[in-house]
Amino acid sequence: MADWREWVPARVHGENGAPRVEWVRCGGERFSRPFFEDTIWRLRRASPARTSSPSELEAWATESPGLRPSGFLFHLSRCGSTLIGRMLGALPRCRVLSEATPLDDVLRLAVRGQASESQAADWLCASMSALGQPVREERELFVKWDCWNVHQLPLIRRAFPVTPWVFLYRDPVEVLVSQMRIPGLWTVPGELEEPLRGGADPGAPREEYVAQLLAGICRAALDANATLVNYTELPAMVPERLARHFGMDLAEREQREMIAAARFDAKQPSMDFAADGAAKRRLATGRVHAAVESWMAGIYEEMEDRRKNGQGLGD
Amino acid sequence: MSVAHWKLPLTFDVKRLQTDLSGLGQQEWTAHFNTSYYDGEWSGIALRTTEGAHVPLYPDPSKSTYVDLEVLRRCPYIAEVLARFDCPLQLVRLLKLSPGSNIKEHRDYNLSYEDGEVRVHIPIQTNPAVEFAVEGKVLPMGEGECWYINFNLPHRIHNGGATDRVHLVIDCVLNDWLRAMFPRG
Repeated sequence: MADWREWVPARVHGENGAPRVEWVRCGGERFSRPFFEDTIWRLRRASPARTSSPSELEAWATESPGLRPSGFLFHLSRCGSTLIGRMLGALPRCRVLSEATPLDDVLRLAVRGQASESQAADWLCASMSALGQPVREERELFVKWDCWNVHQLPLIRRAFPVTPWVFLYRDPVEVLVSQMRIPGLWTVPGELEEPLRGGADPGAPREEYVAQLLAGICRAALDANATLVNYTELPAMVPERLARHFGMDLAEREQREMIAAARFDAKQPSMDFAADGAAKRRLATGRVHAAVESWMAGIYEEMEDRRKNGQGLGD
Repeated sequence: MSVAHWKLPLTFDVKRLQTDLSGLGQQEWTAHFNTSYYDGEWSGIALRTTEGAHVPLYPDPSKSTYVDLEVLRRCPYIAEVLARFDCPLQLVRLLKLSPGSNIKEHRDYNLSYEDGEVRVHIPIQTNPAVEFAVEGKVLPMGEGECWYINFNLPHRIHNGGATDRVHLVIDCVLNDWLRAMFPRG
């Protein structure tokens, strides 16, 4: 087996035949930038990648087990999940993986039938271990998944049955406005395989299709009895109720550090965080409102109701 | 995830783009060098190119420093458009495809988001009979819009209309500002 110390998996390619893992040299990287890909992009330019079979991932997990995940964040997209990642990542004890491509790659192998569920669960654990090699003081690992990954919660729970998790969501008009203004690549028809679309129709008008995708994500979270967090509860609950949910025991100083990190807009570090719900709602078009009314209003109401009646993290 | 094409969340003032265009003389356009790729007339004006390039439209591949050309000073709005791009810019050109002209299907190399080289097109003047197709799919590119295209994929262009098609074509180096225009989630 090769020595993968200071290397991290960047991709699990499944396009042509047997899956291959692409590794990049990461030497002591904390992945503190808002997204995993931001860091990977830099690392890939800095030195050439290596590839291996997935069995190397599994052997490396045995040889050098990484941190076991302490908490998972599933979300509706554009709803503050990056902010939570940033707040956790502000503490040197936390390693945060934000939309880590290899995890999604492995899940997609299962969706496409290129790996059995049990094979995918093993590779998911091995990828997590390789991504979770602690740097300096890191002792807790958190994962913010891609928003569509919630459709594969049963597989993820199979791999990580004891990791606490939450589902974060937000007023659907605000999410849809954001997706219309700067669309996510996953909303392009054809990007997501059928099982990840939650019944959405790629042939529908754009607003409708994205609203259907978002509704499908909410439905998958509710079907799995998610612990629910609304964007409106951020950021104050993160160092308190959410941290407790993830089993963290935080010193007051650490709580203050997390709140300080929230003052910066998570995706654009130059802008202070400000709840921008009202501004987003003003930008909504008639088509956005109609799509939300048709596809998301009911499920949002259901989530709010369940969150306030025992399925949230309380006050 | 990689995309074949992507409309960026940037739009520009069509009238002001066209005003800049109308200030340029016929003699300023140079025929495109890839003559085996096209039928008809495909020509361009470089607005920014490598330092000391003999023919501005063909940057010197051995040079990495790009400079604005004098002609850009006569295109004040296009200069404003370029200033909106908060990333390093390399070759910047106006490319004109005359009525009836045809660029055969071909691929370019190392010209994609994944390669870190992002070429964007801003149509300044077009018509409904222009077909810009990537992997066989015609893109609905409107004037003033800003489109990324993965030029490593097979693409072809045909101007079936009666007027010139002119695009502002900007070669960008991918950085965090530009990456934020392609959010994964």
